[in-house]
Amino acid sequence: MIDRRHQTLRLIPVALVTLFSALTARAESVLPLETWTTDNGAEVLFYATDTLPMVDARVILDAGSARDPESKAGTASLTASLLEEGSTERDAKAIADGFARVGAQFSASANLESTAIRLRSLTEPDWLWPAVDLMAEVIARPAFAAADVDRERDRQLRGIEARQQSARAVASDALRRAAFGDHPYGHPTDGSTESVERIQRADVQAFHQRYFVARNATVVIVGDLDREQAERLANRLTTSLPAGERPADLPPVPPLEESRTVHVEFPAEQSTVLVAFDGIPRRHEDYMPLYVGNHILGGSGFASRLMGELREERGLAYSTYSYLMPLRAGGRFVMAIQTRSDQAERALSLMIDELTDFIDNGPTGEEVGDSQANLVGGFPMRLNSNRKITEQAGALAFLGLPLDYFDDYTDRVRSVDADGIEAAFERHIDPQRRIEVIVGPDGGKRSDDDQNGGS
Amino acid sequence: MHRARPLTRFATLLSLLGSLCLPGVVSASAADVHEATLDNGLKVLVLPDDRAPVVTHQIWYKVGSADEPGGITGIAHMFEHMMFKGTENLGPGEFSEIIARLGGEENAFTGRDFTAYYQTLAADELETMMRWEADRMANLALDAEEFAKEKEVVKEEWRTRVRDNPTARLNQLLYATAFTSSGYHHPVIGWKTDIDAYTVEDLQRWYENHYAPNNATLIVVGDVDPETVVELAQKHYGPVASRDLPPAKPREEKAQHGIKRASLSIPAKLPHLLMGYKVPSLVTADDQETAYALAVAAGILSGDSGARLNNDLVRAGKLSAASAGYNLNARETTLFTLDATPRDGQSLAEVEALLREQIERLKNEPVGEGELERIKAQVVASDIYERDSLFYQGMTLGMYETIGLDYRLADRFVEGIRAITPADVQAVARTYFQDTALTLTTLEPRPDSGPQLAGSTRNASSGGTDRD
Repeated sequence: MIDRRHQTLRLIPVALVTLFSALTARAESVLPLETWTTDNGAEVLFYATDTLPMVDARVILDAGSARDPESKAGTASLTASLLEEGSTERDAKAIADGFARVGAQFSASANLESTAIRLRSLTEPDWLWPAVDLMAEVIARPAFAAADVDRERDRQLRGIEARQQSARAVASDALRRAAFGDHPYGHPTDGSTESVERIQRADVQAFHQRYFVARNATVVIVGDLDREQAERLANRLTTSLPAGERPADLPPVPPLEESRTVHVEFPAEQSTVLVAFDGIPRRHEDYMPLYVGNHILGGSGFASRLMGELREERGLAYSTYSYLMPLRAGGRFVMAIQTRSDQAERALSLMIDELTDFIDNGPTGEEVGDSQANLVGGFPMRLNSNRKITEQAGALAFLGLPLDYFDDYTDRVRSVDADGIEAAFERHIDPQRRIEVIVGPDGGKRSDDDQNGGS
Repeated sequence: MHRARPLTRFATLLSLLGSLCLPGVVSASAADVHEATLDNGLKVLVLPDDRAPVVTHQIWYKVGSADEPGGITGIAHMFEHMMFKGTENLGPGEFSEIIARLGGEENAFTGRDFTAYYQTLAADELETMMRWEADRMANLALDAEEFAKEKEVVKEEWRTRVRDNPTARLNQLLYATAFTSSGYHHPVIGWKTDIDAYTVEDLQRWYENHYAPNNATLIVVGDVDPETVVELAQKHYGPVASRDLPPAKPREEKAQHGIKRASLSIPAKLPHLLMGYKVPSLVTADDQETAYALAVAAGILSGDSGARLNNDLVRAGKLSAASAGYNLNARETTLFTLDATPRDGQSLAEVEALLREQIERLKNEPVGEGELERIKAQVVASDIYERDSLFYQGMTLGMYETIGLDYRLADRFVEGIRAITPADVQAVARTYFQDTALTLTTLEPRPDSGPQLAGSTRNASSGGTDRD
């Protein structure tokens, strides 16, 4: 099955947040979260909803690839994938059986900023509690057996090889390196062949010991439980974790110093073009005007200027978009397009023209009004499933945003105007200072491959 | 209009949980599907879900790439793109703009057996969606200039999805090799030479032959009152006239008499093996148990990380990655697939032997009761989890109706899976996993491939050098 929408290449999930506004009485919170701290220091967020007999539980740790040890990029990712490969009490097969026979879904993975361990279970006690206890066990007491570390390291290396046959993945990794340089954000989450080969069992153990601690953990619980049950769940999930300490904040992302272009030779008909500019951290007073502005420029699919000008008007691409990359310690603004390689330079320069025009002249009042209508009207879809609520609540906590963030969200969306957007873009983004990453065949030569993709 | 017997979906499910020896299961409200058929033949299914003031509105046409004759493969998908390019009443992209201003999400998708369009947005805007969805069912403009531009977009999509994606090309090779006379032979996006050669007349004919209320199903899931939805459907879709459509040709897949093999040598990094056995779908199987048993077999092989392929092959260090799949929701004979990536230096012949060993095991020994029970538990639980998504609930209903099954059958899926025994799984394995039904394809990377950072550095404005 194929769909019409362009696929977006987001380096991190951007916390998309909007709100019920008119639908909700002022006095009542849009997303009423209960929150408390466990005895050993884990922060808990709980949202009770009895619409389905199920629970989502998620543990989020400040243990993303940004915390990888020096020269050992990929450690966070390897650690996460080893969790379900064996605990001190049971082997991988027994862990998988433990979740499967009670119908639970379990996963663990690292991204740029965090490691998340996720459980979805029915509320039926005989099914829920064994799954919760098993999750607690794999978080707190992974075995990291030498043979498992070797095998998962090999698989991660194969995964890195597999990424090399996707132009998007190659471009995204190259952009990370070029746009963040030596900052901890500046390497791919899975690391490189060289860095992963260096990771030893002791590195994984040390990473786990340092970051898998209660004070570094946020627990999000969404589902059909009462407060007492949720407290019990949070306690059972975290009780085996040492209190530990939260790691120090990452250094701020420095501004781009110079412009440059990175070409990566890649056997393809298309070139993938990513361009990074300066940006802002997520908690920044200009976030909202930049967010709404990006929505107009390249963040709203077919309604955006990039799609209108490059795809709908010129048929230059299937996929073109832009996004803010608002991380904790800073960010970048990114524009992207994939197009036939002989027209890549033209597409790139049209994209830059769009940005320049946007910064020089700002959006029209009508565009701002339409975007605000979209963001406000689209609110109900942002929080209309347990999964979305779990994600949004986790993002609020991880980013350190106030838990009543949603309550005056539409007011903040509406408070933005065209001048404010133009000014914010001008303050933060210089179209001339940019990192270009172009992944594709050299010089736009057409491939001599057969026209039907080899089959 | 008539209403179907209300389905107490949760009640059914909970009795299943009960039979898994679970006491004291929580209660939940029953969710009923309401059914109506308009005079023009449009079938309407409404599933109320009031968890949020949101609705998903989907229209499913019973036409997909499998209906395409040679020379215009991919036109179902090209046509889907053109449905956004304006009508006699709205300009190109204007429907999308209306949806965007209302905060809605929209998209469309094309498969082998279906073409579907949907919008998800605030429930009180449902009527607006119906007005304009009905409009493009009847009044599409098909402008030549818009078509010329959109064809370029589709070519770019082909480059992204297929031409520059080695595993997608292997998948195309598998289907093109396995299927000869069936409409599943060619890819959904079409052959490139066909994409290049579409004309507006091709599109016009496609529209006339397939887009009519009597060839569609309307699905509405969300915070709505079913009676009101049917009234609105009558108001907006009702006036669209039904038409006599050309009947679909049978295009039955011809018999296969031996193993089929094909290989792909293109720039890529990792070798890959992809194999498929021709098997019946839920539609073509003589009895539904066959399809359910095949679904269980896929679960035994790769339902979760403890399933056989991952546990016995990947975790045991014999393969780098492996999975199995079976799409039972297909209108025609379909494929039961296995695929794997070798370890560094391992031959594809060895990979094949390892996968075929797993197939032999399914044929030669009954699966363990424990293995079976865990799959059943997952299916029971997933049935609840899937209700977390409005869109997915609509998709299930639309898919069933469009491939020719009664939507009520979707509710029997859990029950059907639960009834499968080890003997059933063994029986379907023996019947269908034969060399005479097998196609094996391999991706063998050309050695000169892979990304390399070019030595040259071009200045964007103020100069600089590559770090790597």
